[in-house]
Amino acid sequence: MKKQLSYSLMAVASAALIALSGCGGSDAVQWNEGVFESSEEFKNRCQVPRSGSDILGNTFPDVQGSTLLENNWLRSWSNETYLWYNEIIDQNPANFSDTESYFDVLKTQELTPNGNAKDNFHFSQSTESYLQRSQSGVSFGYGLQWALISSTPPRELRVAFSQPNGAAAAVNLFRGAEVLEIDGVDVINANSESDLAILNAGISPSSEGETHTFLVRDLGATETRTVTMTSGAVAESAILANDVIQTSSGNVGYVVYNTFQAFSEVELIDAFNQLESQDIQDLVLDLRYNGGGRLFIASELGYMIAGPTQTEGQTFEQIVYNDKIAPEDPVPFFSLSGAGNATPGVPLPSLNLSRVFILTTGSTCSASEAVINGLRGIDVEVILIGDTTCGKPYGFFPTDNCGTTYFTIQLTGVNAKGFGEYPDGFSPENTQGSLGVVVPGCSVADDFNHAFGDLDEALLNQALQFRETGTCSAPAIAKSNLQTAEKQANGLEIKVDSDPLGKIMIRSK
Amino acid sequence: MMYKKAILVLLSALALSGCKTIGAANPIDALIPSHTEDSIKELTDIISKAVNKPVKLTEFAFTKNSRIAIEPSNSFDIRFGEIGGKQIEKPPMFRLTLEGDQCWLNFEETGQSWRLKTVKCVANAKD
Repeated sequence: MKKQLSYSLMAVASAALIALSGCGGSDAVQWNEGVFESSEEFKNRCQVPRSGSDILGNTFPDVQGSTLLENNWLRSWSNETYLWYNEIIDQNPANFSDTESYFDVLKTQELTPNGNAKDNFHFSQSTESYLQRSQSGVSFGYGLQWALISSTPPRELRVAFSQPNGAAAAVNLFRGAEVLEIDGVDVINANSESDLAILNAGISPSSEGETHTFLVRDLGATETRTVTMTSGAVAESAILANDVIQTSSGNVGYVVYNTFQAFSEVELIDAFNQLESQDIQDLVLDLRYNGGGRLFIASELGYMIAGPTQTEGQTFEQIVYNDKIAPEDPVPFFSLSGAGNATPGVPLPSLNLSRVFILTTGSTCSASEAVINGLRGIDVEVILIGDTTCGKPYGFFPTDNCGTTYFTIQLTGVNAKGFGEYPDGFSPENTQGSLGVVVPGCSVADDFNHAFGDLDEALLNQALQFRETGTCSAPAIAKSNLQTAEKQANGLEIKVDSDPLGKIMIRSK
Repeated sequence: MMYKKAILVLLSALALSGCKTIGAANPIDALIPSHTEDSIKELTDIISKAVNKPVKLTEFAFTKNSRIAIEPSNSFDIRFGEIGGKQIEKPPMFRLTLEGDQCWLNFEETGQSWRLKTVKCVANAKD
């Protein structure tokens, strides 16, 4: 009863507040440190309300409000949903003249064990841009994937690979090429918001037909050159290679898997169906450019590696929210299809392996790291070859207010052993310098000189050698050196099988 | 009485809109061998309205699989690399089926189906 009364009082007070603030744009909101009203009180009350309808005819929900009301929404929403809400230093929203600068402070200021910012993934974008990305198995770009070797100045951006017949391949822009300028903005040193926006517009076009100019230096070249590319619709492939390597100690599967998006499920299952029929003794799973995606597909991948005996009744990941949100049932190792585009309810293939070699770089993020952590949670031996992973055990529920979509960390996850603290990533054990969670394996610089699956490619080669000898043949390379490692050779086009489902390559080592 | 009237109104509306909620017997998974501008537009319009957001489809939709997911494409940011974290929700899924010589688009989340007017499809040989 007492609770009901207090709710009633709160409702009356809130209504009065809304009534007051709705008059002539007034926003009489009193800031009381540590006291938070429901974010619903401030939702859609905008400094500049969107008028009319979106392209589907939906009327925008915005009403006239103010920057202060938008800031109050951010404050309350963060308090309700941010994973580390109790580490936010509560600051008066009236002291911030724009939402962007206020949102920037609505995060933890704590550091990781390595001294990095604990929250490196706090950002926003226009809702219009965010919604433009809704699609099915296509992206709008140049037929290439980027590798961001260093995200802060001096920044380093390279082409991870380019697809045949794409805009990048048409201008001979291949794996390893470094991008120096985009539309006249210095990629290496740019730091202003306006310059970063220009760079992002060029890197990640949101529609077809956008033309951007790039100053590039091909791998091994001393001279730079300028290329102009126009974005187009590119059909995405998740499995870039699916090989069987015959060795004296048995067949080794090699799979390059590039995204955990829902459209990848059919390709992934087909790849493992093919491997299952090849008497695979070990698997080298190449996740070096896999930035993540659907956790349920990561769970399926974990099952297909480990098989039913090791995974039965086990937790793949327990999602963890802040203590205001009720926990959900743990995510098991799914043994049936249905997390993506495959026909639901079909038993998944499995390799029944007790260990797996995973190739990684700093672009190995999110659901990729969940596979590493989930398998370690059930004592499948994970051997990492490459570089420290990106350290993103987190997730978001992108949320719109007043035309901006906000991403704030709202969930993390732990494995069957209750472990999930890897904000500095996972590091092969002989990595020099600052480390993430140390995992058996070898530190090896990404090899831009060779195609995926080439037995001379440094990471795959090291994985096969480690499998034979249990030692790292390549010298350990400090992370800082990894970032600048470059081989002296000409650019190389990555061969991407246009129909990876149809065939499996079998070769002898 | 009121219920009967409501059901009649609903059925009439569904018939007029080309939309149904209960599938006919024996629908089989289907693929689209080749798109036309009209077929892409028809699918795009239906799916956009169903998920209540603008969706982009291309000539690849339903050409290899009978089910497609609608999800944000990967986006790259110079400050963070690939944007986004672990996604724990299932995206909206659509399934293309064939009943006789009629193609249907099915929204799995709601059970809604739409009779397609411009889309020509064939049985998915994998099923």
